[in-house]
Amino acid sequence: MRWWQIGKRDADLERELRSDLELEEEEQREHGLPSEEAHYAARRAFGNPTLIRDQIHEAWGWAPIERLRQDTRYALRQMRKSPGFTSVVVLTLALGIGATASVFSVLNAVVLRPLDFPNANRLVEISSLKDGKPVGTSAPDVKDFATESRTFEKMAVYDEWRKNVSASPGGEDPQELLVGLAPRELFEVLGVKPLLGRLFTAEEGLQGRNHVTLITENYWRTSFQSDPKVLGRTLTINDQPYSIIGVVPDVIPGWLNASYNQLRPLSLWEPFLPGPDVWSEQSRSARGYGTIGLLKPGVTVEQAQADLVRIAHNLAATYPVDRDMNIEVIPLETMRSGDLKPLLLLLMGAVGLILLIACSNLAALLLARSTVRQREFALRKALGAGRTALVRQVLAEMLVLSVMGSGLGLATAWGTTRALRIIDPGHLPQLLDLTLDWRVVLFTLVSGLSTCLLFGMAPAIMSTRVESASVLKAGGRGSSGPSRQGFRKLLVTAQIALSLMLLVGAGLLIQTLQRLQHQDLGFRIDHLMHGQIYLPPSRYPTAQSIDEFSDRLTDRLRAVPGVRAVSITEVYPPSDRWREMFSIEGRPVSRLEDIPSTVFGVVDANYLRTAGIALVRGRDFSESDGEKTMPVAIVNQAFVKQFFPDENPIGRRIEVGAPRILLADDEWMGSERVTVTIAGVMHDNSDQGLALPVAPQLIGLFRQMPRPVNSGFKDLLVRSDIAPEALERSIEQQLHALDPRIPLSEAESMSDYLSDLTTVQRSTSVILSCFAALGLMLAVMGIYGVIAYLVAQRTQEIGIRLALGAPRSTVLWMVASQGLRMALAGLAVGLLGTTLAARSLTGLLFGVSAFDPLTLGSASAVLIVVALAACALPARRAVRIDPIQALRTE
Amino acid sequence: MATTEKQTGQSMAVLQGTLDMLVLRTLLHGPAHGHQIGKHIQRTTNDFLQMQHGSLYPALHRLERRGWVSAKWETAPDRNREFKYYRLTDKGRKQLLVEESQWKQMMEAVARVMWPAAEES
Repeated sequence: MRWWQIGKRDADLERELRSDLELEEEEQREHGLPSEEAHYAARRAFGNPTLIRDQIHEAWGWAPIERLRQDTRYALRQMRKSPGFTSVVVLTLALGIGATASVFSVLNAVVLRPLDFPNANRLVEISSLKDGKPVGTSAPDVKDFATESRTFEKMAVYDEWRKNVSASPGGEDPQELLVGLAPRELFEVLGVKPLLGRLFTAEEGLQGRNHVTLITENYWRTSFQSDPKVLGRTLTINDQPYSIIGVVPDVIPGWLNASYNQLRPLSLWEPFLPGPDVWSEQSRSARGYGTIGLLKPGVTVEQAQADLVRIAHNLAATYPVDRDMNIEVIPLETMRSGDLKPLLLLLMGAVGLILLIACSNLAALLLARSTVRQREFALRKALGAGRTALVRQVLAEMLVLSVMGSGLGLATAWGTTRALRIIDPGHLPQLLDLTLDWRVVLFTLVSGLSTCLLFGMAPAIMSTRVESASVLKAGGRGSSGPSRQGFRKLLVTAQIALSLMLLVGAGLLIQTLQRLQHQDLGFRIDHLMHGQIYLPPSRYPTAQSIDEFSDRLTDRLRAVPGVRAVSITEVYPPSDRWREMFSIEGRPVSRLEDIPSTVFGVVDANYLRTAGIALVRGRDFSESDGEKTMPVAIVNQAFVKQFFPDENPIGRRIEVGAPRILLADDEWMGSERVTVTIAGVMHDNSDQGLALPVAPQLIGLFRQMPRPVNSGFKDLLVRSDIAPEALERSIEQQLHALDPRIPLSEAESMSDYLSDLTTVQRSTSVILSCFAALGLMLAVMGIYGVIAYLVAQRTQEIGIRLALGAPRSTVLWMVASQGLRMALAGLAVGLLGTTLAARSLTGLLFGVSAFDPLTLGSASAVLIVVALAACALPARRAVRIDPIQALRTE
Repeated sequence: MATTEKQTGQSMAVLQGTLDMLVLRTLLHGPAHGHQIGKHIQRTTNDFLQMQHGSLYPALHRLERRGWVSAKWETAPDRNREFKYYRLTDKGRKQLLVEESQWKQMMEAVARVMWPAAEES
């Protein structure tokens, strides 16, 4: 039998002892004793059963466990006796630990947990840098990196494209899906093995051989019901037949996508061949692809970086387009956390503060309780309980409380992570991996137990340091020394300081969010909807066919009742990632690195009107600007400010694309160039996302542009009075009336789209506000506790004062000033802490300084009001003290 | 430790340390339950060794833990009732020999001190 069977063993023993007693009793009766006397005689002959039981337990060698059981049982009884105290402590712990565990589980999913790939610690992302910003890689560069590097085992370039995919044999009813483009090496680098079938071969990366596809497990399940005979079936991708050669597991997460704005998971893969000449020399400047490398064993990221810098240096000497390009190698794990890491660390810090506040509250509670229990401890000590026994007893109580608190905390964290996954499906692809794994559980238990031990130990030791005689003599009116009250005041001061820091942090982040959402983006967000379509080159091979389709779709959509304006465009605010080199007529540039570049885009004549962008100068595009007329362009104010600060830009001519003499093949224009005349100046509108200032921008008309720029990727902007859902249906109807095989995707109202862009900031500020509220609540409890206790202690004194004629206002002030003093001290410390934390906060803020006086001031005011409110109840009680009653109890 | 302070009339408490030996010796006759063992020790000493039954049980459990006896719930042959029967193990038999010889040595040592004349003659 083992110790955990102690219950059974005890029952066994009980039975054995009882049968002895019964036998003895029978025997005594046979000796002629009456039954009652026989009973007592048997008991006498047996001895003291409790003592014997103890001796037997001793003989079992389980005494320590027995003691623990006893302590635990006693602790549970104590808790049942004071349900108020117990529930406050357990709830405080559960809140503190639950919040910490929730944030930790996100941190775990985004930063800490190892990646699900074999050799995860050797995986890196490679990107070229221009002006310090990552711009992706180009295929010829990667080829050279791979062949010349000494530090990489393997390297793979990849990309993903929106494509129209149909699983039906005739290619009907296609969906727009995200299709990954990858060579076999990508799967090998990541260690991904197909569930069914095989990976791509090297030949399948060649033009004409590339009509094969690997589908993901998820797509296999949703579109083929996991049919094992799926291999060899045909998918229609952009009107081309592709045969399915394998199924790969869903292990490639969304954050690995080469372009960060495509957060949808990939559905299928085809060989890496974005264009027939992607590997040829003219594509060396076509950057923007993702690249993942597998380092050789033992190679550090720094060594790999140095290795690639060396190769990039050589490339720059050979190829002018590679001049001024830097290279960056970052571990794949860093890529996963992306820009979430600072926010998460901020939240982790905040939740740490919460836990600290909760624990200091706990310590104060325990201290208060130990004061109340002094008499009990004194009595126990007087009856012979050792000091260690008392400490053990208090610690057992702490342990029981902390186990309950941690358990509830874990449940809270579980609920929160579930809620997070439901609230946020896919805006943050990292959150799809959010689960409570053993790390979270371990963290929760360790933090729960250690906080309890840490904060329970001091009260435990203090409470057992009692002088039995003096306490018992004092008649049980437990008086605690001034040092103990000082400690509690210190705790409350710290709580106020921490709460202030949380409040300020939340306030600043809320303002950041407000500024981000309500800044003038330079266009009208209301009543605007956007969507995406893709016109595959098989059916729309020429610029003319694209223009025609656009015109017909525009006419149809305009005819829909309620629609006020329609634009077909390739860019729209607030973020246009397309950059293009250009040269201004009359300003020759001799070096490639001096060529200016601008945010670029092609639109139709209705763009400004539909997006609600104001024209500042000159004229808008018009329907009469066509293929045959002079190409025109519109620039924004930032463009004018930078390139024509003191001149009239209207009428100036600009060649779009790198100058031919310096670079024959432009990244986007290829060998084509077009010269546009500036016809107008538009109001600045966001073109680099919400948080960055407006960069110079130039837009032209796609119908006046060469084919490479007038592509099949088109965005729709529709301004209307129709509800988004109904509008989406109408757009789809009109689109399918023209071409039933073109799907409408990403249809969303502009305001929804913008709020998606601020998801991270929004959820952070919501969470931080909750934390601040929680911290505030705990601080209120802390202040209330101390003041209420002070009033209770000073009841007689206050009674005497009142009896001697002290005005009630004086008494009121006496109590309130106690709270105020703690609040002011806490504010001073908190403001100091905020200053220290400001540096780490600054990077997360937009449009507001970390030292914003309004935020600091209002947070301080809130805390003072709250502190006074917490004093109000005890102060009222103090004022209402009846002097006669108070003195009589003496 | 399992002794009682009570000493009445002609009887005396079981000597410290001898209880284990007595129990083991008793079990040499065959398996028995706690009450039987206690009664047996009392009867064979003509009630000279007086002890409370209860104090037998810690000793029994100690012996069981050391592996000198084994215990099992069994139905008594004379009545329709289960008792916990203790049985001497092989290890217990050896232990009995050890204790017996230790006890003899002890007795002899005590005797030499108490009756030196008898020793010389």
